[in-house]
Amino acid sequence: MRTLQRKILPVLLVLLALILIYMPVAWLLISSVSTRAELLSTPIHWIPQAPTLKNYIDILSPSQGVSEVARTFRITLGNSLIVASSVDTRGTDAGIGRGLCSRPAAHAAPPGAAGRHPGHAHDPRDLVVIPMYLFATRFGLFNTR
Amino acid sequence: MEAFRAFDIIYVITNGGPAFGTVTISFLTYLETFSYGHVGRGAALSFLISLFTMVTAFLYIRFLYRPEEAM
Repeated sequence: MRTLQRKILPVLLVLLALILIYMPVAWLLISSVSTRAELLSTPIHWIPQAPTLKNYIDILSPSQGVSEVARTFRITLGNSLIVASSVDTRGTDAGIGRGLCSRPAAHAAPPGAAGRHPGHAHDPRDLVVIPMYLFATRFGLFNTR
Repeated sequence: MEAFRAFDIIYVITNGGPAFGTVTISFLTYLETFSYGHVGRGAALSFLISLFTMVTAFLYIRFLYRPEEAM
């Protein structure tokens, strides 16, 4: 009995954790293939009665002309890729710089000693975000709504 | 991948403007779901973002991970 408990209890806990983790993802997927009326109806039901791919078609197919979301989607995807690429490039530059700075010399202290990894080095994000913050607060550019 | 989902800085500084010029895909999801009330479309956008992130992560792991580095 005790052995059974030892075997079953972890499995049940893992199942519970998996349900808690994946239930929101499942709801996301379900709501993406449901109609708006179905999503707003009560009581809430998990399985959509009339599943549809209209939401995906609206987003991915600009020829539909249903809304501006398809055109906006492409622009925003481009914007996100620009942000991601620029951050990646900046991070790579900073990484190379840090790598060169922290490269141990021939007479350097052994690994783990102080000074091997310069803790005082600025995070590259600070170098951009702090001046932007100061600039924006000075000229009242923050969205405070 | 984290930067691909940038939201907070854009929300605080530009709020997507001027003329939607700085709207990222996460911000579009927020607008569709909470400003325009298109919950299903927002969910679809979120799922597409997840899918894109997963594919990118897979490619990163597939091409950049070297087993000897794990030693």
